Amino acid sequence: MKPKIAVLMGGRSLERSVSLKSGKRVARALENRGYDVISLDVNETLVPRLLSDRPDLVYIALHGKYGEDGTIQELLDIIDIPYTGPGPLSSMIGFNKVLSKELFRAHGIPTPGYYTLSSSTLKEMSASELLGDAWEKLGSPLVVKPAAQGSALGIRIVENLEDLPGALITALGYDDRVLLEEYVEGCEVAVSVIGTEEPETLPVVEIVPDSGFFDFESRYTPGKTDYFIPARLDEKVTAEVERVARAAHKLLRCKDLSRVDIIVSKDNVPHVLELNISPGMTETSLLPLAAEAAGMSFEDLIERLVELALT
Amino acid sequence: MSPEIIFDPYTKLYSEVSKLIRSSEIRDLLSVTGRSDIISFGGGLPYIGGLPPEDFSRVLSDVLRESFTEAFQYGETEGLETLRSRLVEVMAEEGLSAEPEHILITTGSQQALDLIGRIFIDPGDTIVMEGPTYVGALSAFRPNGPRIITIPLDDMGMRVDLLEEELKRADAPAPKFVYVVPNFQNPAGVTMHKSRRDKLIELSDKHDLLIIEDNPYGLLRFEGKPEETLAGRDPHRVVYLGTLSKTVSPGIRVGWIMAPSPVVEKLATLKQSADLCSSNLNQMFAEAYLGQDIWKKNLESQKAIYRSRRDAMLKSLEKYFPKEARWTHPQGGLFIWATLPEYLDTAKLLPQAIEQKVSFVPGTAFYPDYTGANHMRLNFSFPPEEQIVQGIKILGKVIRKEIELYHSLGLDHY
Repeated sequence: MKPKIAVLMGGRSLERSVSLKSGKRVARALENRGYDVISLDVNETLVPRLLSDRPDLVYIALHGKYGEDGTIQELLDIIDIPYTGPGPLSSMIGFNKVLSKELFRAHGIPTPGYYTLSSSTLKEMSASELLGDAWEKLGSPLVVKPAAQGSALGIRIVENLEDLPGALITALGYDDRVLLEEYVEGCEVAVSVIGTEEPETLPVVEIVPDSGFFDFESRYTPGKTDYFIPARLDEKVTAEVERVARAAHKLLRCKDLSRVDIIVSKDNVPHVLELNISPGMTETSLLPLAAEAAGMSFEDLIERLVELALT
Repeated sequence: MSPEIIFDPYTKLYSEVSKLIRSSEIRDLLSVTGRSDIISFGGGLPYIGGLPPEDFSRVLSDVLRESFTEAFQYGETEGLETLRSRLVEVMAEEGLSAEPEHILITTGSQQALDLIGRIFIDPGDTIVMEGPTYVGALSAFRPNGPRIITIPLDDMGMRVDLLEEELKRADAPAPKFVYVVPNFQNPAGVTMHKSRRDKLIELSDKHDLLIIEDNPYGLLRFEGKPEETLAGRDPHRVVYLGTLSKTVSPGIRVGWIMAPSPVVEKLATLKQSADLCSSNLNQMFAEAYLGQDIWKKNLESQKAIYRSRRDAMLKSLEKYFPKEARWTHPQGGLFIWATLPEYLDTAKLLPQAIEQKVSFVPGTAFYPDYTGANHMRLNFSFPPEEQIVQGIKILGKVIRKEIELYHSLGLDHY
């Protein structure tokens, strides 16, 4: 008898609709491979359902808050049901760009320079007077992003200082804390990492958005972005990119899976932007694409993740 | 292995029009609003839960028993004669007299908008719309490539004086039509004043204009006296759109167009290529339902529910929204339109509202030129009263916090 697997999807994070697409696709793949599958849209009935259905494994196809920030992982640890992907601590750190960037920096993994600002420092300490300084120090253009959010929601590239306050308001719509990050020009790549102690990387995906910026629209509108696999980098640079991705994965003690987003600067240095512990699994997502390039079908990929989680 | 990956192998085949379709952050954010734990002011749904299912089930089984073969057969493109005659009676409720021959049944009003866009608009043609306007009309007209002139609204409806100025401009090409929702407008909730209606008809005569009068909410009046329809004033100048979506059910997809004969013929030919005919089963249900007393009885009870929900929302807005905010006081329909200080962008506070489990639609969605960022559309027909109070209270807090943030960044002025 194949194991019974509950696929968690949807929820009420702002990435609900992407998660539903990921989850449905994962559930179909598991059914095709003969697993007994329960699809669960996360709501107030979740815990009772898990307690009564007692699946052998939970597949986490949630994106964003609650699914990717350690919340659901903590809960599953209490119920004592194994799940796919990293545990609570790695999730918490991966989802929080400030924590993960600080760790990267402390361990010699290059990441773009940044400052953080919170709505309370702006409101209560007149932090807006520092914007000019930050602008000078980080150089222009700069990237404004919520400290904790996925799918490029709320991210803006700011070319002129006078547009900075507006971009802050956009980003602060998604999180109370925002990053002002140095803009590194170069080649944007995503590296999927699979495994724990001796993790391996899938082929590096290069992302070339029509608009020059991989924003929400580029991500989810087919044809708005070109992808190259393997990335058009020379062998030595590719190896370095893969090494850095594995180092980030291990540093955050990621179990089984992560996707590391990286910019390779003009001087061929890979700068880690962020690490995702529950990467998208839709038909236009990067991880399944990389797996396919490695000769792994979507079903193979999902089954591999399930096997890793069960061992 | 080819290094370049294309997710959608059909990319090269798509038409220019289809390339206008894009993913959007707002649409994705609003996908959360279908959840039962979200207080949704974002939709435009009638409250079907308030209708007695037994009425619908009785009418439907009568139709099945008495007219099975016809109900499950193709029908005429123009729609069932019996239903068209019945709709003449429905329109008479608003003082409009009509002939069944001037009516074309459509699959919801949305099909009517699509057909109208296609028979009247060539790329580059000018059309006139209200600002804000119905988002479904925008999406139906846009693929035909019109140049859209937006005429602002106030509490008395479209600023017809500004339309007149626009028409006087010597260099302005004559518009193909003027699209208006005169009663309890979506999204603004306002109703076009009698003087404005008179003036609009006068302008249409003077400048040889066609008016598209979209009237989905006219029969949802809670108070005050109804205004005469534009079509009633001058049937030769007006293409009139009706629908049962808000007065019976949106699930049956029954709408109609009343227009001068040549226009009806053109529209019917186009409809034939779109879907041959609207569902006979649904039309027969609609005809049978409208022929019974339950129709008006159920409509009255729906109106009573909407009215008290509107009152709850108005009271809550008064209590919880910041003093800088204003909002419309609709005498019917489904929507209230709130206006916040001009520097605010309601799309930017939508994620926080959703985080707090409340949704609404940001103003930019309703303007052809994506202005109107400081407005929000609030639907009151769907959420129950206690949710309305709770949701407006939460929105009020989110807005206050946002105003503080703008203030801290020196952006609270224009």
